[in-house]
Amino acid sequence: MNTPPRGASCPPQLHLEQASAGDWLPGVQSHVDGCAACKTQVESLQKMTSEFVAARPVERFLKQLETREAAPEKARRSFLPLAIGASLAALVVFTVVQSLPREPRVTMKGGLAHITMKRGEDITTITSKACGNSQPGDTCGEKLAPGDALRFSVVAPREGYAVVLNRDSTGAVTVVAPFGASEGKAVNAGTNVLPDSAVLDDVRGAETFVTIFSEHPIDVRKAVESFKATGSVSCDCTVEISTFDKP
Amino acid sequence: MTDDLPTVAPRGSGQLGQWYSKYGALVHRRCRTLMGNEADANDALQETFMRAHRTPQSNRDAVMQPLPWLYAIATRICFDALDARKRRGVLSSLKEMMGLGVVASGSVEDKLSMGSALITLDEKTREMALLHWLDGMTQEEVAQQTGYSRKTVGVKLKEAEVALREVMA
Ligand SMILES: [Zn+2]
Repeated sequence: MNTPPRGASCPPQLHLEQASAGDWLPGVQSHVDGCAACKTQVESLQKMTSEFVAARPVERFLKQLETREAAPEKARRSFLPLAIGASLAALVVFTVVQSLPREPRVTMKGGLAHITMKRGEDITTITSKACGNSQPGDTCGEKLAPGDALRFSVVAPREGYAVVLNRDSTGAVTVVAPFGASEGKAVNAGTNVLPDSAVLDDVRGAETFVTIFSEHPIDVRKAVESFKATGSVSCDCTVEISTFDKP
Repeated sequence: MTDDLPTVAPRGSGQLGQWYSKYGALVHRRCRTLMGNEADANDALQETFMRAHRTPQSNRDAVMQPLPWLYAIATRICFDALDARKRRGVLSSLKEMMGLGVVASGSVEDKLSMGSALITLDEKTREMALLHWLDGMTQEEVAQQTGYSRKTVGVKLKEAEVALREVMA
């Protein structure tokens, strides 16, 4: 990688960067004075800073901040605070489910999916055994809203593969966790938090999530096709369908 | 541009302006490395200083080393944005998804950013990678800073290097 060459006694790059801004940590100044490489490094960072500030004066930057502060949140969408991975992992409930049947067929099962929702600062579990695989037209109790961030876990009866699909009220189907997966994520027995979270868009109506577990790699493309065609998934797998209302 | 308009500085902007003059270029450079493009780096830079500005004065006064503090804010913002970028890919491609499991999103440049490689790693590995490759710390120093053993750091950095090579290759 592009770590600058660093002598045995040279301070880390970070300390040189601090030095270039005038923040000299103990011992750095005396080292830089006697080390041509570090000296060059500090000087070139100083040059970078002065060119940067000349090209983008502080007054202009502060004005940009002011505009930014006045702008509605939506205009700054790319920075929705969504660091939810680790904190949600800690909230996942451990549920034990029965073993899979032996014959190769799809099994509908509650308790396979575990979905948590982050809305503002609140994190809620929105799946329950009662809501998994409800009848068509039924919905889970929780009402979803645009902007909600969902994180998906699967409670796997054994080692295997898992994936979560989403279908919105327009019929569009998306592989949400892991995003764009083609054969599912390898999971261990027990609760696995799947990578990626989904932020809900403005399309209103029913949001359906299909959590699929299989002992074998899942042909996700096929699963998407059958889900679109039939509203369910045909594979040698266990499936839980959770539908939510997004009014 | 609008440079000659009178500026109504936000409250507490004296320190903000000072910090920008001292650290703005460095923070921008880091954001550029993580995000892989200028527009996102500028956005992240602004957001970093916004958040610094929103931090209560008493907390800001307690910051002994502003640059690492700003870097930490910037890093978080960049990874949140990279995460969102990935999901925007999900949301904007619903129609193209019909029958397809994979969607290509983002420009080639975005794909080449360090952040886009590191976003695939767990948070701890990510932190180690940043300390090592951006802050220029040795494996021992990373171990000291993170509280992990030198051996664990070595393994995790190897993992990160593989991810980086895949993206940068
Ligand atoms: Zn040196």
